[in-house]
Amino acid sequence: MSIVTPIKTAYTGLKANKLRSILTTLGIIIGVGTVISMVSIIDGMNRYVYSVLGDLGTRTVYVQKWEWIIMGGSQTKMRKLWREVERRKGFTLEDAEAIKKLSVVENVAPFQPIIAGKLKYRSNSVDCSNIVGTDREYIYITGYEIQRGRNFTDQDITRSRRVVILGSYISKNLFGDKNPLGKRISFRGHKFTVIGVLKEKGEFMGNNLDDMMLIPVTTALKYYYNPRIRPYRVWYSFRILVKFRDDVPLKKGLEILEELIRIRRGLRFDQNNDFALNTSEMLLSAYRKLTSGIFIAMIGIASLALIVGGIGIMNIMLVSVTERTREIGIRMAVGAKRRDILYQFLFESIFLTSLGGIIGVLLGFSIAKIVDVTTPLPASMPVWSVLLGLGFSSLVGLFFGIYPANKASKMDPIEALRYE
Amino acid sequence: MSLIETRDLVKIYRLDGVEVPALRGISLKIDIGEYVSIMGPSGSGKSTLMHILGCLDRPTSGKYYLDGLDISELDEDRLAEIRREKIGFVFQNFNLLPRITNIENVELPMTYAGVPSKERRKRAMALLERVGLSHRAFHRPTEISGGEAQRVAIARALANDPAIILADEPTGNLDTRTGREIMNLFEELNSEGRTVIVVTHDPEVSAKTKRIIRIRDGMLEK
Repeated sequence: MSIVTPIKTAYTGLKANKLRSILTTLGIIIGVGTVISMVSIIDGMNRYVYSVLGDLGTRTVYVQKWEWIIMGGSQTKMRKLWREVERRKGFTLEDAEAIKKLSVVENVAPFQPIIAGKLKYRSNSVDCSNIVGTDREYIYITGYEIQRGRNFTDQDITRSRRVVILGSYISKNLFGDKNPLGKRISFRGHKFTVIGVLKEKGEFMGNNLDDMMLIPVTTALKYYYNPRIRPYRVWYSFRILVKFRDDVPLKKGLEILEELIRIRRGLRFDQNNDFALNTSEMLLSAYRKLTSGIFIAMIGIASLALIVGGIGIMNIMLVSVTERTREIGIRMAVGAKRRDILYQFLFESIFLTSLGGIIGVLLGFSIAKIVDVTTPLPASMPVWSVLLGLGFSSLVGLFFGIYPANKASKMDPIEALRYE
Repeated sequence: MSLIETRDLVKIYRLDGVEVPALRGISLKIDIGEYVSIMGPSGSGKSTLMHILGCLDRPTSGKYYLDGLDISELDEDRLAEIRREKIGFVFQNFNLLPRITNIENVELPMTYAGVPSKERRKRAMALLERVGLSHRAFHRPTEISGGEAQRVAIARALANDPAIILADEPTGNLDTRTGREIMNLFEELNSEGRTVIVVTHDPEVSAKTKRIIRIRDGMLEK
């Protein structure tokens, strides 16, 4: 007997019970739908995060007072940790100068974040979220490009000039299509001359990367930095961006950098670091840890749904076998072997669950698409997740279909023929 | 050699530890081209005998030779093959599958025999033509009368061109006139050279056959 016949037979059996078949596969549909939608969302996020963090360069080091990823535990413990961070000695421009002298280093940029505020030009105003005091090296490290105008000069820095480079979003909001270069804008009581505009960079996890303005680090320290304001002692503390030369392994570079900073801070060999060397690699690994946690939880939920769905399938197949006892008898009488009966019912349950799998894939894909459209989370459907969904659903059909199909094939033809 | 030969067939059922003999030593011979009825009251063992002759069951002891093959030695798969190649069943309640069309019912034995679908369809159509029901080919068994259903069942029994037609009370669910038509059909099949065995308790039915084997209490009546 060919492979097509039992499939056709199974299909006929299911067609006769359309509603029941669909209801039975609901568990499978939900299970597969969950996997597909979650995988799509996580995969989309992964691609996004990797592409943007990759852009930023995993070889960029942020030298600063606090670790990006502080795994604290309880709230009181976290608060204690942050108080400790607050008491740490801050970094300075001199530290940046010293790091610049290391041979392993390609670029170094000071980085002084300023608390956000309103920018004004005549009657126009815009809120700027990312205000950074830095120098000309900053854009080389972060991958921004100057679209028009110029970068900072050494004199801008040494003379603490009030000049500013605007992100494209800020420039558009203040000046529209007009040329912003040479215009004077005001920020918290001081006037700045626009010397450059950055090329558009887009969005990252709902953050507008073009909502940004750069001023000379010395200007930032002179006019805005105030250690009596708490954020400047912690979140907005001074940091140094370091990019190693391409031929230097990250690990090696970090070792040399760490050694230099420990010496500059006068740490003894038995004292722990009171500073952090943050890399986007660390963010990536934390992100990986997080998504793998979600992944495991998702696999748990999905397998639960698949098991429940599988038990539903087994139940309905047992009912079906009993209902069709006579049919089994007839088929045996006209020459069906036990194996033929086994395959018929096995194919029927695999057919059911695969159908559920296909609907589940479509459902999951729709959910992912909806999430993609309505939220900042991107979604992409990898082929392997579709294959996995379909593969698993047919496996469930095979596994939970064996018992009922076996029961059907073990029937006594005479008894089966007599069944009313 | 006979088409069918049994020697001392014994069948004992075990019900709740009690042994119930259904057949107590039956020896008979049926030749190719015979038209035979097996007669007996209910409980006589004629159904059991039919099941064994139809290879649906095996005897507890004794021998059954079909076409020279010792059936009592064969495994279940071989029995299924013999059922589909050599035996065509006709039942009292037709036993057609209600969800598929008549022609698909006729194709069923050929499906299990591995006949390609085009060939299957052609042969099934010819058989329905033979029993005068080609116009009902694409109806379902639930949409036709009892007499028609029994004709479809006979067409199905003929599907793999079997040596034996084995009919179990084939007229039991039909009115007298339709029953007669069915018996005429059997007579036609027999006149074409096919061996037909009818199991019945109805003397009017057995009267149509050429030989009557009477069975009572699991033994042949002399």
